[in-house]
Amino acid sequence: MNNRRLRSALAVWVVALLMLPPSYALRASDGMPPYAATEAAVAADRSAGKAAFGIPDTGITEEQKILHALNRLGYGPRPGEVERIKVIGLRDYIEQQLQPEAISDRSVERRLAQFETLTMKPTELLAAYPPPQLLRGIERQLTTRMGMDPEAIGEMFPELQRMRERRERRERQQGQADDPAAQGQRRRERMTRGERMERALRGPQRIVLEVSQAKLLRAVYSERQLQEVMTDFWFNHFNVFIGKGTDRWHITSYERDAIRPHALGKFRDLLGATARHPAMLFYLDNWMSVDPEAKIDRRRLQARYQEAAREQGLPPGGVVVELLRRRGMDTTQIERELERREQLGRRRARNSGRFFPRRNRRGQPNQKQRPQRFRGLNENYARELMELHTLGVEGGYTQQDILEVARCFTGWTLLPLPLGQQFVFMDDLHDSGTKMVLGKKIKSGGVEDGEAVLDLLARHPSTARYISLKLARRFVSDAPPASLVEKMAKTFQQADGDIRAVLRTLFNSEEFWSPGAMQAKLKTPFEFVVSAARATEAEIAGLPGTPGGGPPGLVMALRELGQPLYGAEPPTGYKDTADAWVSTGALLNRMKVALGLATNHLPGTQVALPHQVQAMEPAHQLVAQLGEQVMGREPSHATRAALLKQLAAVQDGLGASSRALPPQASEMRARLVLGWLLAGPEFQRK
Amino acid sequence: MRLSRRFFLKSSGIALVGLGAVPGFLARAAVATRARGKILVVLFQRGAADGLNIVVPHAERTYSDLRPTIAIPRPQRGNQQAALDLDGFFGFHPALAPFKELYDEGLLAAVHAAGSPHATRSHFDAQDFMESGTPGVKSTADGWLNRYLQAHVTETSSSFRAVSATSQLPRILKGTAPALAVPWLERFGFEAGRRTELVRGGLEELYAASSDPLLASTARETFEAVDLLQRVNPAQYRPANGAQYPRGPFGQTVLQIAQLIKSGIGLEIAFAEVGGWDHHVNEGGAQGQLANLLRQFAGGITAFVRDLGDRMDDVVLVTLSEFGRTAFENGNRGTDHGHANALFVVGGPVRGGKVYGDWPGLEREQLFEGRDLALTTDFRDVLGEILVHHLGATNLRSVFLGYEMRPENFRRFLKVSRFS
Repeated sequence: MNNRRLRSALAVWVVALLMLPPSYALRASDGMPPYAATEAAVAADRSAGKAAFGIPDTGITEEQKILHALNRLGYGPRPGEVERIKVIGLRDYIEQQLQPEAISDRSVERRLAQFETLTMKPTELLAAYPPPQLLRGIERQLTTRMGMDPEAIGEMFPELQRMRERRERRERQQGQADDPAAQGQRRRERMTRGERMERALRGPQRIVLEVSQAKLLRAVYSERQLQEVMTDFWFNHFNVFIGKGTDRWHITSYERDAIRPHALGKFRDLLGATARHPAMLFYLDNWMSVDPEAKIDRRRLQARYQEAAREQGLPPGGVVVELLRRRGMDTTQIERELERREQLGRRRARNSGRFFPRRNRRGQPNQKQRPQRFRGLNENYARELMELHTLGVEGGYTQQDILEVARCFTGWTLLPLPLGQQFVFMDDLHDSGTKMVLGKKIKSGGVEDGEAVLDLLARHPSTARYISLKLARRFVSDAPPASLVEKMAKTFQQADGDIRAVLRTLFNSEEFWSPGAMQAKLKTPFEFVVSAARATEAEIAGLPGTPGGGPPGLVMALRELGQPLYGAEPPTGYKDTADAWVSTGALLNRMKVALGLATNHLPGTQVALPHQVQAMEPAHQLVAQLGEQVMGREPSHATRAALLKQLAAVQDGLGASSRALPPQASEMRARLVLGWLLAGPEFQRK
Repeated sequence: MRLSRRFFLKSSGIALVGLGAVPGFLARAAVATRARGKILVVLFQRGAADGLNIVVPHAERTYSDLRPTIAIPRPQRGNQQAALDLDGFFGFHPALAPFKELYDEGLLAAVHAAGSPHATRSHFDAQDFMESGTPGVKSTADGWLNRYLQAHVTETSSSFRAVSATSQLPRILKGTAPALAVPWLERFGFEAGRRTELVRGGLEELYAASSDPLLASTARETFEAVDLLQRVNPAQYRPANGAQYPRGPFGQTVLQIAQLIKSGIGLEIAFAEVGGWDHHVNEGGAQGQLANLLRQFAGGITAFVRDLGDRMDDVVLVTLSEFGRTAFENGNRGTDHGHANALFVVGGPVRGGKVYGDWPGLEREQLFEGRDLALTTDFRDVLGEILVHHLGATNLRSVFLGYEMRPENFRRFLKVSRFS
């Protein structure tokens, strides 16, 4: 948030507010607290037959149920949405949400159309937005094998040129760090914020921004709310971190190809898709886990990599040739050479990077020793697979089980970066001996070993319980009733891990609709930001540098709020319980974001106030109206009283003036009330 | 301005000072009582600092052979580019001249060949392990500093008890105990101009009227913290004793921590970080990238010590970095990811003027996996000594989960009579 702008803007309203006429004094409230439904209202519902939805009658009104569904199956109500669902019926709405593929979602698709990286494969992303290590490798090859001079390379790869300039500048500055002339020079060279962002967005940072902004836009605008909630839930359950190594180039595909298609499908499919995905193999290090006894021949390994890359449809030369072509290089010579080698059937490309025509015969000596990354077994994935993905920490496994599972997954690795870093099973690295996992013998000796482990874990009763507990915690309360978890776990086992069936059990349970579950969950920062954008019908800009684009203010706000998108480092993901998100600093930041959003001071978002709200008098009507808009119901008595008291206090100090409020001041007053409502305690819960 | 009774208890006498309603002598006494609070500052050097070029084993025969272009020359009178001799065996990098003064005054010590015993050479994993305090266990949810706070609840906990001078709460302070992330003290507030009170007034009313106990009490603490900080008036700060903080973000960061300490706001734990230590290419020797970074680093910490003056009697500052770097330089005049490292302990309670730890040697067979400095001091033993003997921690088992802390492993770099 731009604080200086906010500060000056707030200063403007303060002046305007001081001119409020005296008619805004506190009035006695005639409302009642939310969710304290009168018996009469419930009875009216019952007689209309609406409570018999298949959704249990727990003594709350239909409006309350709809609001609860909007808050838990999705990211909170938009203005008027409660009424819309009343028309189609709550049960039908829930059924629709469980079948997202049948819901038309054109408006969000239109918003995402300009995000080019969302549909690209990781191999394409690597070629289009190459990571520095790939660039450095290419620079070496071009210099030593093609004899290109640094200038020509710099022309083709401005990133390398910039890296070199930065290095040289640092070296020049040695010992003259505080030279005023040099400082002036630096100041002149310094780019504006916009320029810096524009340049960053031509590189890999683009992938991060697009995937983050897309997640936000989907959550805010998609009609498939439950699918978005479940995609978020499973991503967090099978968490990977965008900041670890090359995971940035895989995370788009991870969500798109491994998580989203199975978010409401079979748990076993989800588990299998994450296990084989490069994002997970890299994040939890399984790609470098090998049989410590394996005899690894570097040359053979490289040949196998090439072969596997070809089988996966990657052109010879992999990402590198594609990258060179994108940079305007004529790659026919390289491709011809690669083809020739292949036709001759000779030692096909021994080294993944060594497909450039040789200029001299010396080259690097062959290194026969074991590649350093393949030092032996890595238990990381095996441990988290059982502790976090399936059985749960008390799910009944031992350290020996971890070891045996790790042995099963040896050889589940990745192609080298220049070949696109996709999943490949390498027999040479696999421990083909017999293993004992949770008392079961596994002895097929290939890629099936890992699949057998996934079968075993997906069908284990501990997994059914653990997944049900996590779902109940997400949808009901921080400490969900054991009875509910049992019911869900039973469905999980009977339906062979069908997630939709488990959710149906959940949405049909008394526990989900119990009065105690209403408002029981504290919003995570992401839920807070998204629900605020929905409640205010905020218009969020697209990508910077595109038509209708702008700075990603809400994505940046989430960093300040402690929940950067795709930025959870530990494999546990972000916590889903209130204790993780309530602290002084965090609350202060929520208040600032709320005020910034309501007053249009978050870059890249616009909130428009309906005209009738702006002109609304008296104050109690304004508070009730905006409260209804923000929360989908009347705000509580306490909230209304507090806001009216504050509005009255503003003008008590002014002395009486009966002039009508100037339009500018009345808009500011409305925006301030909106900000207060979003920043207030009621809006922090769902 | 309303202040709750609990708040008075929590911040002891300090809140009274700002109200101006208390006789001066009483207020001063209150400040003095609170001032006895012990403080720990943890500085994380992210990116793996090259301990062998920072605390240089210049008398080690192989040192300069391993690093033909980046070795720091042996100490030599009048040579500004040479190591600053400490004890005939170790010397400081020449850019650490301010540290040499602190060392000679007995305020600074180093511990060499220290770090995490886990063999990982991934920045991500190693930082994670050093912050969670559980090397090898990735699923630990909270950080060890937070677990210290959880296990040692005090009656007088201020909302500023634990502060990280970063924009996000780092892993090391994540957990259920309250901790603030305050990148800029001056920005911790509502910043709505001259009449901020109006904007926040509505929020205060809303939360005061709320029947949501969790949010209402957190909000009360938030408003109190904002008020407290406002009275500290960070914008008007002047360093004492002629302390000169280096320009740049690191100098500003340590300055703000000094400010918080001097304001008597109830700070017990502070965390800050400084990046840029990952020198794979052109690391430099006596001059160069590492030297530039060290000038900032030593300049900032030394200014902090000078600024605080006598207050340093209650402060211990410790530096951490995820791992060291290879004993030999690589083909790019830099160093790659290694294992054990050197760290600094600074403050009045420190028995300074010494390099602690067993030296494992740099001969090939002495190196960890044939390439890196071997580890002889577990970082948890360094931190354990500080937690126990400086902060008075009683429960280390819950801080360093799964680690059997043995006092005989402490290096005894603190002045404590309790050591037998």
